[in-house]
Amino acid sequence: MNIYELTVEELYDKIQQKELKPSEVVGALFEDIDKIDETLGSFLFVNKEDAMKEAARLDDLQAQDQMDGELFGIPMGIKDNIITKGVLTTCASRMLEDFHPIYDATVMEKLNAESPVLMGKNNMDEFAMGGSNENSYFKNVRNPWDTDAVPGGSSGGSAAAVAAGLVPFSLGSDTGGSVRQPASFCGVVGMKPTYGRVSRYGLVAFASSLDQIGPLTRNVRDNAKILNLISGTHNKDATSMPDVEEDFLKSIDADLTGKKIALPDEYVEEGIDEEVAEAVKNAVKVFEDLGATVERVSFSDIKYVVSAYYLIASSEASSNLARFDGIRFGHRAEGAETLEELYKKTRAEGFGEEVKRRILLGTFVLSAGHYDQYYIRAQKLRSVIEADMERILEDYDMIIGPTTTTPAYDLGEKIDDKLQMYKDDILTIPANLTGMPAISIPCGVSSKNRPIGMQITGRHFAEAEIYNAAYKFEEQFNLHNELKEIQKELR
Amino acid sequence: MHFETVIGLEVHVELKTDSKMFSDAPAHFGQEPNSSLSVVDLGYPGTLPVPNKEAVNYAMKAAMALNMDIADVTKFDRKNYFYPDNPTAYQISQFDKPIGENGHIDIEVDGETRRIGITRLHLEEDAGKSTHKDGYSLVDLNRQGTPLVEIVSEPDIRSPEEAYKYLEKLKAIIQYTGVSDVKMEEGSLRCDANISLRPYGQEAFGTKAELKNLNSFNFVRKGLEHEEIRQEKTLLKGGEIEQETRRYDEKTGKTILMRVKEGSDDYRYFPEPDLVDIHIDDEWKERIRQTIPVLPDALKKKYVEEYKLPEYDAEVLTLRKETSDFFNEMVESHGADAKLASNWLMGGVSEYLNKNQVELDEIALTPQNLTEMIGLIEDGTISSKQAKKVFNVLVEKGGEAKSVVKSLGMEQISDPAVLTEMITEVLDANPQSIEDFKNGKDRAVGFLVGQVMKKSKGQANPKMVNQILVEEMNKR
Amino acid sequence: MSEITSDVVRHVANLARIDLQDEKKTQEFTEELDEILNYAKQLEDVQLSDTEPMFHALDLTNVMREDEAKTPLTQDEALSNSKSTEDGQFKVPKML
Repeated sequence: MNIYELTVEELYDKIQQKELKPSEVVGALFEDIDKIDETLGSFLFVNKEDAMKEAARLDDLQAQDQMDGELFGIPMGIKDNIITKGVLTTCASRMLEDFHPIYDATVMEKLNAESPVLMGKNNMDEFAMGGSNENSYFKNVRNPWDTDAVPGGSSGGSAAAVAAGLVPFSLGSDTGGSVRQPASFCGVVGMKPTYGRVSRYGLVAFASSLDQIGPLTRNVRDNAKILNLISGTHNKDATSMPDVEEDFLKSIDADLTGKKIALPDEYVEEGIDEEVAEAVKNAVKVFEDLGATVERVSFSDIKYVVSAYYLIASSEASSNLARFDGIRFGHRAEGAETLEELYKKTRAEGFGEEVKRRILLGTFVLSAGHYDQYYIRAQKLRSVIEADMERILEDYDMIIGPTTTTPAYDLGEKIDDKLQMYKDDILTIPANLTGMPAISIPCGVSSKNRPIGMQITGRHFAEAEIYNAAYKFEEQFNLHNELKEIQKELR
Repeated sequence: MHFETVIGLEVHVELKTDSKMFSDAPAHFGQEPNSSLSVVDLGYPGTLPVPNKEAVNYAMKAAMALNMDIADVTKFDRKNYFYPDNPTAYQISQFDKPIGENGHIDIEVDGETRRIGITRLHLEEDAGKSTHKDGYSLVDLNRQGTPLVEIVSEPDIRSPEEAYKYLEKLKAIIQYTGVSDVKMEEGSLRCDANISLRPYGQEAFGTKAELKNLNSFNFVRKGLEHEEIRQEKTLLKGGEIEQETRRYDEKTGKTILMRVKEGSDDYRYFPEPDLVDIHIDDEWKERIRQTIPVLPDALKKKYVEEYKLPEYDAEVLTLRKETSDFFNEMVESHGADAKLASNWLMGGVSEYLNKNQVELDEIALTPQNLTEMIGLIEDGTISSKQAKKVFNVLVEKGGEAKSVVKSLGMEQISDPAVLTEMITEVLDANPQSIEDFKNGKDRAVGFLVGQVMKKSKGQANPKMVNQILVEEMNKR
Repeated sequence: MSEITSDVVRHVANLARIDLQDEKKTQEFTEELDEILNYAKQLEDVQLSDTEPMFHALDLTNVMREDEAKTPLTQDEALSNSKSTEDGQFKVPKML
């Protein structure tokens, strides 16, 4: 038995049945991390000492048959923009290089109540800005399928660590596709829940009205299980929904007969890689075999979403990131003689180029004389997109399409064409603008042996329905064996 | 004056909630810096604001008391600017949908009522405090996040005196609602003033200067008076007023340039994405309206019409809620004569409070014992002169007026039998005076009264002595 | 062309309190922002005059908390991540 291959559910069973001790699992995965993460770069740092201590404590409880918690003894990675009390949280930025949080994110409180073991913090694009993980201040992440390829971003470390079998699950954050796109590039499952489903308290804000935390796992069931555990409790996040008890595993196996699925023309036509379009068309057949009907629809306004998204996200980011001023926490420039100098030097030194670019863009958009022209217009476009999607979802249960326009590309391939990288987010952005839930699951592999992801988008709070479709699809097509091969090769 | 003065005031009032506007840290704190904070107040990465419902209630209550229209939908916006006492580098405030709009208050100036419009009242969070040292500054964030309302007047104020009256009335109204302590010396009420001049008859406003650092209503008046003269001199010399921020210097009584405003500040306001709209339905509005007590204007009217108090008395009594509450209790619960109660509150009580720098609720005097004391003066038990001594005891130690009078041994002798006995003795000893009285020499009475007073060690009721004495002499 | 010039970038950088460090970077940012904003001009093609802006992804209203104060952080905790403090306060260079 290879511990690294085991899913959350499998680990849970084996620990509950005392076939495995938490310390065995944690120890084995730390060995793997030591061996292969030098190459992958999926962890910014590991939490080895604390994790081994915690595992030993859980061993004792296991010996006493006190194995409480849905994640008892199960290792996890957490994207480094999610606040972990007492554990360094850097957002992959020099700005927070030595930041030790004094509180826990709501999702951490919820997970910790289930007795998992935090292995370390996953690498990411600085402050979650980027789609290739090449914007980390500390190091790049490489794709476990092909170390020349990017893992995607911004939750690239989380996706790579899960794909490589370094952890069975990780949490990422998704503002314009940052969970789904790396999941797609790495051949794993990534969910961006409905806006408001998961508390954002303790997620270092990029764009408040778009950000949402979501799980990355190797299969759909694990993903549903983790979302079950992190949903709800909104008392510290005024934009989250009141608690609704919902078990996403309950009807995950339901029959898809009679389900109506929409595939927008724009998702498989111009601008979409041919292999990607082909994989999605094959997926259509799978769904039809499962008893669903799939019909083509039009979603022509999608051509505007990248503009709207970058104007809105950058505006919110410019304000959210203004708190990094060197005074109360984070990087502080040396030798500043005046307050203005302290601000300007601290922020010049602490932020990377991509972060600065977006802060400048957002500051411009919000500044006098441009607000109506850019910001308000972008927010109006958001209404248009929501109306479009709601119109489609009146007639259909779900919308499917590719997660990304291409499979993973090589490191350095696109780094000089910012606008093109922005445009690559076109397929994932609509779910963020509208707040709708969307998942990415593998649906193919390219000729270069890089995974292809399919996105399923549903109505607000229709995660159960999405998981159901994803699970039924996964039974017909998955990359589980391919992942195991890759994991083995890496070791 | 060659010009008409135009003044608008921006008043910030701290709300008296238990917790802060957007965090659960205590809104009241002691001297220890940075000891009343949550991670939200520190602007820690990942933290989010959640609005305090009571602060919304209080803001609504204040807006209602200022005769404002209450919004059906209100929302928060971010005002972006960098400053060390502003930890997130944005203040959560309200831009285009404030809780209250379009209100007014009435003030009395030279016997006339003037209505001053109030443009808006909005809810926001207070900032921390910076202290400037030699070459650096220190920042204490305790005050960060305290709920504030900003109340912006229309440019309807025409003189420094009107500004003073406006502030006095505004303070009284807010104080009556109970949503704030409104103490300028403690910073729970703060005021900035905008002032400009224009030729009489001209509609367009002149360029305004903003006055800051106004630490009392008196300084607001003085600062505006100085600024009025400064601007007038500049204009008469053919100069131009710059749009600038000026500071009032309490030592010199002058205003000093702080900075010239270059265009308008670019605060990059946008809707706070971490907070959702607040819808205020009629039921909620009504619930808050029910909690508003009788306000100064209504009370003043009642004092004049029902209690027949002079306007001036009514005005002074209603400036502070403690005073009118005290007065009401004297008159309504203990049956005090309104004018006498007013005289004492505006006289002896007010003198004592001013002299000792204390508040009405900090002294031992109660509406009941003051009413009782007034009664004792009226029925002749004590003289006005004696009352002063009794009053001092009631103020400092409290107690029942009657027992204080007794313990001071100053009760008047008003028992006719006792007085008659004393008078008989005096008459027996002074037959010549009786003779004089009967011969029409009125002075004899005065002499005899003096004798009785002497015999009673001053405690005899002079009025009664006079009366009984004349009766007794006529009998002889 | 969008309205982005290097002067605009310098002004915006000042508002955002970011030192642009050198002229070359200023030029780069100018070109990149210009390109992005030119692209965003496509939004002018959409008829939006009757559309309301959508500031939130969910239609929530009236999310508030009760007025209950909890134990605050200690002064030590509040200052724990700061690199410059004095007398229990945050220390900053002089303001001009």
